[in-house]
Formats: sequence, structure tokens, C-alpha cells
Amino acid sequence: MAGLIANEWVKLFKRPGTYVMIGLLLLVVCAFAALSKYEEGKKPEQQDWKQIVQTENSAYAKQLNEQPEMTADRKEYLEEQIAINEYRLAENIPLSTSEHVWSFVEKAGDSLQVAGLFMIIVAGGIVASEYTWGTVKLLLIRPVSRFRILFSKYAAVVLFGAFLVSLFFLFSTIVGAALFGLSGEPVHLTFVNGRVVEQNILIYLIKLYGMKSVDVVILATLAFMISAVFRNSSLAIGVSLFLLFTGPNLTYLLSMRYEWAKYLLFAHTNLLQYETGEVMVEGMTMNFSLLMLAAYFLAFQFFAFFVFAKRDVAA
Amino acid sequence: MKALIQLENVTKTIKGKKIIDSLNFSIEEGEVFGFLGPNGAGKTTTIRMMVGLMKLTEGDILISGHSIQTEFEEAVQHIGAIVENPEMYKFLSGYDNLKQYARMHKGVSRKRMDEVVKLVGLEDRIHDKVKSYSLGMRQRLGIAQSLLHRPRVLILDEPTNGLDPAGIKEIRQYIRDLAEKENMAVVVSSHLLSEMEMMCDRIGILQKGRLINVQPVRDWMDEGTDTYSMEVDDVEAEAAADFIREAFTDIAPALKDNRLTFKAEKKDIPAVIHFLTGKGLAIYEVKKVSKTLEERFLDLTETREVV
Repeated sequence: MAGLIANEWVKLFKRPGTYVMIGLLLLVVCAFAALSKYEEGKKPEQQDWKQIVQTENSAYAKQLNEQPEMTADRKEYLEEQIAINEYRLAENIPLSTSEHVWSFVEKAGDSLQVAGLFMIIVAGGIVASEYTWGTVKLLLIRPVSRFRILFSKYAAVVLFGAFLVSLFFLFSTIVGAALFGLSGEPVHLTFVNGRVVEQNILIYLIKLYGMKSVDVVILATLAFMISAVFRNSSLAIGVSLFLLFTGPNLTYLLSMRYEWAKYLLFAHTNLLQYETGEVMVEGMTMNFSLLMLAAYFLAFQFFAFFVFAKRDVAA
Repeated sequence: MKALIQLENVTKTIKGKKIIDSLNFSIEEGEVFGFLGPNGAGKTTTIRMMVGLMKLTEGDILISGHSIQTEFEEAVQHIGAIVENPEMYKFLSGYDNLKQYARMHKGVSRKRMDEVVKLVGLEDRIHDKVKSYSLGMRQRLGIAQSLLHRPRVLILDEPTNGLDPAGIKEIRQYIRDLAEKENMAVVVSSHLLSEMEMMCDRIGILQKGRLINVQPVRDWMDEGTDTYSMEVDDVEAEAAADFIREAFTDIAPALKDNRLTFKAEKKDIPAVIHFLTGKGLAIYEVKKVSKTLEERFLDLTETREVV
């Protein structure tokens, strides 16, 4: 199996397109960093962090008082934020008001979809290209089952995605450190089991990047399925990218009117919704979302493997 | 002799249409088998089923005793093949292409790779990108790829396609060697019948999905009687025809100008010449107007079509 994945990796990295993707990804980080630096320069004189935290808390409290109809999740989130801020004041852990490396890495995470875009492009091409090149014939007459061939291809896609996200993380850390310095407390405050705890910021950021990668992985799986079933990379990439960018909004619109929107894939791709308590459809839980994601994932994989293994190759 | 490839009642139906209809034949070790047929006869479909790219609707194909359907991996490890054009990864070098396939087989060493590269004569260009290869070089790389894992069965679709005459001769010799020295079973398909006749031990003719004829090449070459044309003197022509009719009852010459055309067995020709010269007739020329393999092939396929 390692040999098969190595094969896919070689095919990926012997093509110039892959390097263009990596180059663009790094460029996005640089552009984002430049923009942040520019905005930082324009920002007015920093306020005292204690004052900021206090203003924040009074705003939260006001929300809690004025909107009694808000969901339980949202209420909990606001109460947690207030608790965290109070902890901050009590323990005298300053809130970094200026940009620093970790705040930059956190913000840069918003552009992580670029890595997702490239992962989808690779996923959409990895099976279909073999048909386009005609090489699928030589690939499938080896003493290796079609299941293992397809599995190695999917593994290569996931590895490539992980590689891009890691690269993005690493590079934005380097650029962030270079531009904004290593200052800033490497501590993240979070709420665990009813208590405020101090957490290493790195753990928080890795978790954040992981959460942000969920939609990308599931859409790459969709692209992979379309690629394997329809042998058409344009279709696979087009559909998946369209859904990546419009899916959440469309689902949001539907969720305002229809209860069944909670069964749609994009009601679940953003797992961060459980952090802030602003869930797409009321009553959804993290476990329900994980279940739905697993169901979609398995359905995509089933179609991909079933069709790929059964199909006559007549390209 | 051991049959390395066995087709048993192989049938393929696509959308209710029988593309391949009950093929039954086997190919033995040390044998080069030619697959012949007009376009659309089902040659490639049959080859695709042999290598497991297409599923069989009915029947089974055994490679070295293993079913391609139920024991795919065991069966296919004995096969080396090129299906249609030898399409390779163009963005990789020839060597990197071979490495891809080496990783998918057990026990293909670097030494073996160098060996096959040398065998097909690609040493000088093997590290260049396949993009820059000519069709002939790709064909060679395709053959290298098919031999990498020392298969017992070699299946080549149009192996001489795109090669220059020297290359064709080389490949032909090479295929014969593989069968004779390595005792492999080789299946080639080609539309060039003259090619087939030089390469193959047996030729099977496929038409409309049916195997209408399998025979040893030797039988194709000398089919018993041939047609001969004899040039004699203008004035003596009629007399010559009569002499032959009288002396050789089973030869019926047709006369046109100063030429006699007749069907005869090769061994009878000296007697005919001897007889006519003995009668004092001048013979300017005797030549065989044998039908080419092509014509015979067309005869065969056309007559069957009527039936």
C-alpha cells in the first residue's frame, strides 16, 4: 500500500501544477500578512486591555438581558465569554491588543479555504486524469485490487490536504513571527467542564485549523467521488468548488424556513458553530453533526468504490 | 504443452447486444497467437476481458489456471500487456514510468528494470520525459513495462504500430524469442496480416464477436492448390491448353491471349512444364498468382458474412 501511495505522490509532485498551487498558497499567506501589517499601522493608539475586556463584558451582559428568547447554546456561550474575561481580569492575563504571531495565525485560518480549493482540485483529478491520459488501463492490469488502487488515491488526496494545511500553518507562523514578532501571551483561555482553564495557544490553533478543515475534507471526498464515478475532473472540481463557496449560504437560507435543512450536508460542515452556540438549525448537537458528516462521508465513499470496482474500462 | 490462456464460453453483452459470443479457445506456452478481425469485431473487447479491464457476462477466462474473475490478482500477475496504445505518464521520464509499475509488482529489482530497458533498446533516452518520445519509443517503453515482472503471458495490441521497418523486424524477432526461449504464451492483435504471418504460430479470426476460424499459419501459407499463370507463344496457346487438359485431367486452364491460367498443386508444376516443352512448345514464364493472405482473409470473412 505504501508503494501505491508513493506512486500517487510521485505523479502529483512531478507535475508543475502542484508547485503552482503551493506557490499560490504561500502567496495568499504573504498577501494576507501584508494587508494585516498595513491595517495595523492605521489603527489608532492602543487602549488599555482591561478597559476593552470590561466593555466586552458589559456588551455580553446587555445581550443576555435584552434577548431572553436566545437559544440555550448561545446563552451558554455568552456566559462562558464573560467568565473567561473575568478570569483574565482576576489573574491579570493581558489581552494582547496588538497583532502578534498567534493572532495572525488565527486570522489567517480564514483563508484556509484556499488550501481546500487546491485539495479539491487534486481530488477531482486524481481518478479522472488516469482516464484522460489513458493510463488507467496500465494501472488496472496489475496484481492489485481496484479497491486498493482507489484507496491509495484517496489516501494520497488526504495526505496532500494535510500537507497543504500544515504548510499553510507553518508558513503563516513564520511570516507572522517575522512581521509581528513573537510577543503576545502563548496562552489561550477556554472553558472546560464549567471552569476557565489556560490552554497552550498552539493546541487551540491546531484544533481551530482542524475544525476549519472539515468542510474541505468532505468536499474533497465529494470531488473524489464524482471523479471516480463520472471520470470527469472538470465536473468534479466545478461542482465541489461551487458547493464549497455557496453551500453554507444556501443551507442557511433553507434553514430559516425548513426544519429538514438540518439533514443537509452544509448544516454540519462548520463545527465551530457549537463553540459560539449559533447553530444552523436549533436543536442540532455536535454528536448529531458528526453522525451526519460520517453518513455523507460513507455515502460518497461507497459510491466511489462501488462504481470504480464494477466498471468496465473502455477508455 | 500447457495451456496458459483458456477462454471458456466467453460472452459479453452490452446493452442487450452480444458483442462477444461464446468464445472457446486456448493458447499454449511457447505459442504466438494472432488475433485477427476487422474493426469492431471485438478484438479489443476480448483482450480487455483477458486482462480484467472488462467484466465477462458469461463464461470464464483462466490465466495459468486462475480465473480472471474470481482470482484476479493471482491471474493478472502472470500477464504483461499493452492494451491499445501504450499510454504512459507523459510528465514522467521513461524510467519513472517503469518505477511506477515496478512498485505494483513483487520482486522487480533495479537490475531487472535496467535489463528490460536494455532489451528494448531505450538506454539512451530512458531518463528523458515520455513527452519527448516518438510513437516507436513509446511502443518500446510499453513493451518494457509489460515484461518487467517476467509474466508468462504477454498480450500485445498492435505491437508494431508506429515502429519503423527495422523496429518492426526487431520486435517480431523479439516476440518469437519470448515464445521460443522463455516459453511464454503471446497474444498479438494486428490488422497487418503480413505481420501476423511472420510472427504467429496460429491465427484466430474474429468476426462480429464470433471466432470463425482458428488455424496454424502454415495452413494459411500453403493452402494446397494455387493459381498459376503461364505465358506461351501466341499461336501455340490454344494447343497448349488442349495438351494440358488431355494430360492432366484435374487441371483446367483458362485461356486469355497468350496466357494460360489454371489451378494446380505446386508439385505438379514441373511435370506440366516438362510435358509442354517435351511437345516442343515455348514457355516464356510461369508464375504463381497466389492470393495474398489479405485476399484470403477477406474471402473468409465475406463468405461468412453471407451465411
